Amino acid sequence: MKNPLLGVTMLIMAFTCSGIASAQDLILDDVESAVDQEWAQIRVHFTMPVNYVRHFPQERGQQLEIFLTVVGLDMQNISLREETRRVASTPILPGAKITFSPPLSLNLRRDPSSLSVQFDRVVNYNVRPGEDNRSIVIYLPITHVESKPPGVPKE
Amino acid sequence: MRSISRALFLLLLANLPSPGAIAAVSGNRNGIDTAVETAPERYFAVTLRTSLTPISDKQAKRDIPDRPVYLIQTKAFGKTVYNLRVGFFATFADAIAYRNGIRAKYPAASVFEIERNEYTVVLRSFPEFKLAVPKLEAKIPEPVVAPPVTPPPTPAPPAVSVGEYSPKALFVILLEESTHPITAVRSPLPESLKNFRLYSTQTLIKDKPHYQLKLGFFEKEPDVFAARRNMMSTYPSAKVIRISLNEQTSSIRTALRAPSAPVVAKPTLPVPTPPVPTPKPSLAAPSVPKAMPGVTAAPATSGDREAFALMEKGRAALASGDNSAAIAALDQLLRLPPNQYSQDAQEYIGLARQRAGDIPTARIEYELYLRLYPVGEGSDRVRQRVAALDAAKKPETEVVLKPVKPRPEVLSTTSGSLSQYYYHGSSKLDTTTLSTTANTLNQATLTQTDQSSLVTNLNLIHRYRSENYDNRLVIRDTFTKNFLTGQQDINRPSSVYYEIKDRKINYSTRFGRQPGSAGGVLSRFDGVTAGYNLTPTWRVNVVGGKPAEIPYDSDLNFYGTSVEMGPFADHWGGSLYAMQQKVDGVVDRNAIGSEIRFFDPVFAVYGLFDYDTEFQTPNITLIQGNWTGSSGTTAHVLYDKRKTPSLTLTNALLGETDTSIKSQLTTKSYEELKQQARDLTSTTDLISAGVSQSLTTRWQTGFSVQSIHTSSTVGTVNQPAQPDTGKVYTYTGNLIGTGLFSPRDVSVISVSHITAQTYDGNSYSLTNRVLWGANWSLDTTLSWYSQQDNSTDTKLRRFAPVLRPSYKWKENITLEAELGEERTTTQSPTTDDKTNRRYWSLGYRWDF
Repeated sequence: MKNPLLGVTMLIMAFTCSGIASAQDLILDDVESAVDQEWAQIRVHFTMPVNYVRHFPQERGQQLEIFLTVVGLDMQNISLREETRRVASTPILPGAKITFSPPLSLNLRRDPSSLSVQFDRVVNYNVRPGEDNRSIVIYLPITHVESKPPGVPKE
Repeated sequence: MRSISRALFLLLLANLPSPGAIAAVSGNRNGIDTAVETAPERYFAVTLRTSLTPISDKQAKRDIPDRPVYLIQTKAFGKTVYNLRVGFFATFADAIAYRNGIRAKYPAASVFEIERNEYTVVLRSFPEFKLAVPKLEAKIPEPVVAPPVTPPPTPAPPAVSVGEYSPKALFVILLEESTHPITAVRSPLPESLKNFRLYSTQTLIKDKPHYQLKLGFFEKEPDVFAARRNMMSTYPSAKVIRISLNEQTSSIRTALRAPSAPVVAKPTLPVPTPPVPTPKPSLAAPSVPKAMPGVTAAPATSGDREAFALMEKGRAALASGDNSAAIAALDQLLRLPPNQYSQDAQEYIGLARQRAGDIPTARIEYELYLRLYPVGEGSDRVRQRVAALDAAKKPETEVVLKPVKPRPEVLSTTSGSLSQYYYHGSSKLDTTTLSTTANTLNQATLTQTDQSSLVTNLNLIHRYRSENYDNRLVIRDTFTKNFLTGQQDINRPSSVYYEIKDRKINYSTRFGRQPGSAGGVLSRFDGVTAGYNLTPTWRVNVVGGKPAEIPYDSDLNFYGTSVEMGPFADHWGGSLYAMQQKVDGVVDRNAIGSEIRFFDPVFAVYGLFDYDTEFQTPNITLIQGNWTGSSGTTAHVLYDKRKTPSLTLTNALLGETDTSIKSQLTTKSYEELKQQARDLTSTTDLISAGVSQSLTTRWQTGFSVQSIHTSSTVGTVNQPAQPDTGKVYTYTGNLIGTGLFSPRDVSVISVSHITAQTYDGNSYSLTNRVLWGANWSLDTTLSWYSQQDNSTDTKLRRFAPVLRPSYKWKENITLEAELGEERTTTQSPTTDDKTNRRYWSLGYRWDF
């Protein structure tokens, strides 16, 4: 935003247009990606505390399912809905569609929620809970060194 | 354990200063040709697996008895990464060939060029696997006058940054500009910059090609300027510029490679001839060559199926005249590591751009082809295409590029998504009542459309960064247009805030509607947060505002402060906070609390304690933890005890028609309202624990148990008391697999048994997600639930199938639909209810 007034104006307009609230809440916050020498990471931030449960497949695939529990959800009058974020592809990392699916609620108890990550291609990864209890981190190895060094004849 | 110890030992050794670069045997210095033994210049290994948790090398050693298999640790994001590798290969081609042979067993295997340190250190444990040493013929023209002096190894300068190939890293250093193709670098890159991408670009100025040599990519201005200072001795006119994301994306196709810096710096500016003769270089310590090896384009490797598929897609699109699709596919192919299709793809993308009418870009693509593949049949053909472009060029269409005004070194990006979905739902209720007195059946049917709405979601993030500031505007808004009579339209801005961070003084502030849940703030609010880093491990924050979306006719506001600490001892962190919330001028909530964290790659624990000093009772006590084992085992545990809803004075308004605390205080005292709030607030205890275990690479199983209990409430005149739920136990087993119905699907089978004081239930579900081709996906869910209430002799059955197809129409536009049904049957001694609800939705999502 080159003109800070533009930001303030948009902020005021957004508030002016706001209306009646519902009980539905958004749980996905920012999704950030960063690249290091050998690893890249996609960090999914949540607006509520979450507890990482498991993920599958373990370390390689195009579709990754991460299961987590939204802490305190059962005790609060909050309903969640499906949300999607898109991570743009880069020369090194594939793009990814990240979809949060609320838990099944056919009964009084809720199954863990699902965070489905659909990469543009098959990748290796590692999944960990974030340092706070409001994020999940997906680590992706970078294979940019897998290019032929200079001087190697063409195959 | 021995393996881990050995890996730690190797890591320690690997961090030692590099041994001499060349091991040489003294030769005859009397002008006789001498055979010189020199070590290979490059070392390659195949990384079989990487993990953030310790891994074992036992199985790999059994699988690969004829090669050195070893574990080594590296660091990424401050975390230890465990690498299982097999060595050693003198050439990249050898390593690739070996990797291809073991991919069936190790699908994640990849080739890495390893440091000489790693090779020499590991070799001490596996001396029999020393790489064959090439014999080089070296000629000594004349005797050496003086023994050479090998400069002591100079420690590498601290890393300025690491190469960042992210959309945010758009700063590069423009090292050099020339009217001729730049085929060599003036000196090797410093060690701290060796991982950055060196690439060339070409522009047309007054119809003449100009070539640039660039080094990137940097996200932060301080980093790029520090790197430029590092290069100024070699490239005194180097300057920092900002590039487009498209250039960053395309740079992989013009990537150049240069060797890392030797320990001796090589001046490039004119240096006066020294007054004394320079000693001749010796074989034992070769000096830096006067002319560095010419940079070469990253060459090809063997193609893979992905490249083949993209090539076929590009060819087909080109043949059918769909130039845009052809460009997209070929561009994607060219971003892959060079492969056997790269050369043809480079020509075809030029052709596709030419046919699309983008002549300047087509010319650039052709010229890039000729630089990469200057000889051969293909190059002759491409030269003809370029000549055809020249012939077709009209003089009046010449574009004279004027000098461009230098852009400020800032970054401005906008990203997000816009989606719209139409939801429709209809339900039918059949009720059959048995009249016990008349012994007759009464039947009634109710049918209605219960949902007809258009939901629009906006997620907009605008980011503007300069050297000093990082600004963000975030808008997340959901607007629901209801088409049913009696239902209002709803607009819900869940996040609308502006955030600014000072990158030099380390303060940040955010104002607007924002999510809460940290620092004692329990819900979304409208207000301000601000923080300042006193030190890298201590930060103070203040917060103030009004809770958003309050259903009461009362005025609420709060303020608070918190101190964040850590990390300490690599693993520990936490925070302390205090906050007060007021409603109509009296205390609504008065909380102090603490968060504590322990985090390492194997074990993580988070704890939260929130205490209300006004009500003098704990509000939340939370402990959660995760453990990740070495053989695909994970475990999680959660203990959560909290007031439900969170204990505040406004809980006293539950069930009241007069929802103003100010008004309530005219008839009741503050203490009476506090007691009423206590009487309407229950306490919930939840304990959950589970474990998951990988069975194979395709299957995983899991088991969890959960206990939840909610206490009774006293109730008031307007709000009935809630009974104690007793403990509700749930036992769940999961089986998760891939390849059940198709090679690219994931299926989750879940079975649960629920037992409570008054009822027992069973739940079964199957969810399958499958990808079709490049653009289709389908989610299918089948759920079934049964419950037997023993106290009322009531049976409940529920079945819910759901289909969710999705089609990726364009790269950033997806069409999605959902079709589902929920059938519920409830049978009691006197009533038989059948509910059938069908719903569907259709919409699109545009990512930008």
